[in-house]
Amino acid sequence: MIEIRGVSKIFNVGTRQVQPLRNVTLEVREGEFFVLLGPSGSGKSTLLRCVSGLEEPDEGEISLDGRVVFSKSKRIALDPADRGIGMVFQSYAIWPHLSVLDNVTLPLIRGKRRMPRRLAVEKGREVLKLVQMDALMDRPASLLSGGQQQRVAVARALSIEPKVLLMDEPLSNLDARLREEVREEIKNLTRQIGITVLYITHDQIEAMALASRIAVLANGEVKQVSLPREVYKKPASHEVATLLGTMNWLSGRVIRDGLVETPIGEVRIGTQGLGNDDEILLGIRLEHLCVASSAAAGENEFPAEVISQTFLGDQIWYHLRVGPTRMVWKTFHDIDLPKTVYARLPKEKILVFAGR
Amino acid sequence: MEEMSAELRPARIGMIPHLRFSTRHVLLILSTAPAFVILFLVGLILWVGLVRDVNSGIFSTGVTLDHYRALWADPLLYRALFNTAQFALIAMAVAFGMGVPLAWLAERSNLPGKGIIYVLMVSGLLLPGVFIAMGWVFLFHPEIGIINMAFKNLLGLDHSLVNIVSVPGMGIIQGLNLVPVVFITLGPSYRAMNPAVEEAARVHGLSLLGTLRRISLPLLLPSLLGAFLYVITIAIAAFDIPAIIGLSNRILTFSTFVYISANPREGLPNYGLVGAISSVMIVFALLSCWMYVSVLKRSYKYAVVTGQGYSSRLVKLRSKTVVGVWLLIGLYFLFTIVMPLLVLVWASVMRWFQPPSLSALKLASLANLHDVDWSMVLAGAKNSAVLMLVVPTLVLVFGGAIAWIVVRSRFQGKVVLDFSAFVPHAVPHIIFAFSILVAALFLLQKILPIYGKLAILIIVYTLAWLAFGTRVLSSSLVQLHKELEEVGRVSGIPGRVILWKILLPLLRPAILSSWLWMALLTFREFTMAAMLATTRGNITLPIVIWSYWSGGQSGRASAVALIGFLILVPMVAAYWIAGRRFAVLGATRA
Repeated sequence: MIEIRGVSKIFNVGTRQVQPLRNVTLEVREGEFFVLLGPSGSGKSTLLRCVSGLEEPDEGEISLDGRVVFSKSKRIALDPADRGIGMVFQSYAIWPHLSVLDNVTLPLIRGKRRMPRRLAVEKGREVLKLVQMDALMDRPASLLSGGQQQRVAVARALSIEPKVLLMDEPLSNLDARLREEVREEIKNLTRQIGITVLYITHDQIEAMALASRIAVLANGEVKQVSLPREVYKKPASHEVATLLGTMNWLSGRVIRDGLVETPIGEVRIGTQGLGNDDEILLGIRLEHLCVASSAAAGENEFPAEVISQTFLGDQIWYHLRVGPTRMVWKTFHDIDLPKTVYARLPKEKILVFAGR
Repeated sequence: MEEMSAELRPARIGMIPHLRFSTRHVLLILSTAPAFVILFLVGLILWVGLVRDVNSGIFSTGVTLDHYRALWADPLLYRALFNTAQFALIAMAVAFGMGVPLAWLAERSNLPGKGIIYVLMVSGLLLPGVFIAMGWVFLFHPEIGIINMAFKNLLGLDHSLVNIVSVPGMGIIQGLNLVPVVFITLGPSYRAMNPAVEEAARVHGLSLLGTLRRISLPLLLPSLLGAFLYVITIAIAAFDIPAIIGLSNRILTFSTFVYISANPREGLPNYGLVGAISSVMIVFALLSCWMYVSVLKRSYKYAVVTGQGYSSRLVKLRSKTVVGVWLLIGLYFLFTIVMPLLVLVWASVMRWFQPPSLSALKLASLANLHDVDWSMVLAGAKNSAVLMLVVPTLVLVFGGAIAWIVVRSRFQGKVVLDFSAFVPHAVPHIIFAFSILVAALFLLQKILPIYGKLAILIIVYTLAWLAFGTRVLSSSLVQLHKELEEVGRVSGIPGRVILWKILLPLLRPAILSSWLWMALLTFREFTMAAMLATTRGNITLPIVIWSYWSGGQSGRASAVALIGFLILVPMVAAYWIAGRRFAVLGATRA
């Protein structure tokens, strides 16, 4: 549905050159909810803007629904309006001087469609109903709350019946509770219409909750494209793993197959085929650590000291000192720990990456 | 079909992407045309300063540095420049000495009746300097000034108390006239300063003086410096007060020197000399312009400090202080607005000016109004009206195009556009008038005969206000999220519909208030008109007054000035009403 081939973009900032996109290639299939996940400055917004046509890449080709909408070599650059897309902006970009209904109908009446007003109003009512905003149709848009503006923005994007819906961090301006609610609404709505969505965010939870597939972007490059579970469980690199949530890290050197020397001692790993003396990086997610008050004399078990704890309501983070390094254990049970505990690193949960 | 043709359209490897061919080109032409004319006029001045003899041929007589050598030899010019420096320094001292504390009082203290100060300040800003200068002559002229004469009689002095027909005298009047400018430019920076930064200093043990020296002053310094550079360009270029008060007594400043050199009583104008001194002036102007911009950049950096959700805590004044402050403010407005206007009324009913007295009152008549050449007044009023309608509109069209390109596009040349739009602010307006005069007389006489036509004023006014118009529009455009336009483009709304249905309605407060403001500026403009309004076809109301005044008919001049004032009052009122109405919608102030 969306094909991005070898897209690069270079900006000149003063005398410096910034390259937000380096030879990006991606394919989004029809009906997919595809999330671009990346930290700020990773180039994800630029990529979305290139797909929308608001930005022109310096290299590469982009197709939507089998039609080339941009190609450097063929000298094609379609107007955003000719690409069959709907877009929800980060700021929502609700026109504050118009009513809710007019926000939706203006593109229908004055845009490519040139719909007669009567039909446009009908269509507008229909999409506003879809986002449960039909009751507030005549309200001035400037009087809407953040969540309501967000819904109107979605309705406006859907009103022109786009093939592809582009969403630029649409939840980042909502407060935490509303965010979860709207997130589920977006998920249900897009699934219900069956539209292809390209969605960008820096929030890994949002990405995992929404995506049918995730592409992780960093420094203008695609680092991994995979199912949400895969990206979380088998990140392709140290960088991707960090993006998907906080981790405990250990640097180490391979002694022999399956055994690694680290600052806290020798650690057994499940990964095979590493060369002796390879410098590697071991990562383990906070919740995968096993902590007990007494030693079980198992594999990869190390004595640790509890330094502090952070109570987060539904979860608790214990800050541990294991040998010379610090680690964090995330648990969902509020238990009393003695000063000295034993931390175990389950072999199968340890992620192994090439060292830096 | 439509999709096919869209696909076949070649890529726009353009500098301003994503706009349809026509919109893009219209924008480019609208923004580059005025910039080109501005740069051309500046270039022309530099050239005129080098040409041996403009009168015998602007391109054929060769190049020389004689005019620059003559600059050092001309005692009149030498004197004029010295006067200008003295005049500007005194004006600055007065303007800042009053404007800085007044702005502080209005923004940071609990002084009652602040609203009135704003009204008075803006009115002071809009009242034509010509009117005030005439009023001051009637009040403080060493021979005929009412107050001077009263004191002479009262105290038996043989000399006058105050002599305004002097460089310091004119400087003080100019300074008083510039107080509103200082007030308006500094007010926002006082307002924007978060009191928390001062409070933090106090909490952490700095003394009041230490806080002032180490926190408040450094934070305000950029805006103070910016205001200083802004106001000094106005002071150096000032024309109306030096013209009304100084010219007839041969006390010249830069602007009046340019004026009499371009319009000599006898002989041919010495264009070369004016060109040379104007070139020197342009270099200075661009230098201060560059400084102003770099200072402004710094003040923006500081501006980030202001957080949301703080309310400026006001300094409490003691009631004695309040009375004292209001007394001073009252005196200020009495002397800068009320008395000059009252004395103009008196002068307009006197055939020959004399101090007010009962016996003089018996001579009061409307003879001046009767003797005024009404066809000339009507011609002036008509021309002024046309200018007021046309000029602000043109400025908004051109300035809007420049602002949009500077704020929204990645057009490579936008720095040049931004710079050229700023030039008319820095370079004295009289130089622009002189340049277009030379262009009209020696370059355009065949192709575009604008000399003596209203068109020449339309062009030069539009260029002169361009700096203001561009800045107002770009500062409100910056505040409009660009996604508001982008979502329109993505939804397929054509550029011109985005302009009419989205941009213009959202910018309406800024457009309306700046249009009215420029209309008022156009009405009171005197400097450029004095150079260029030479016929009935392009005479303006202030020039009608000026021609009576310089012809020695002060009574008739006063009568016409009063007519002008009566026209001005409802317009200022309209400006206030519009301002208040749109302020509710979050008007963006310049």
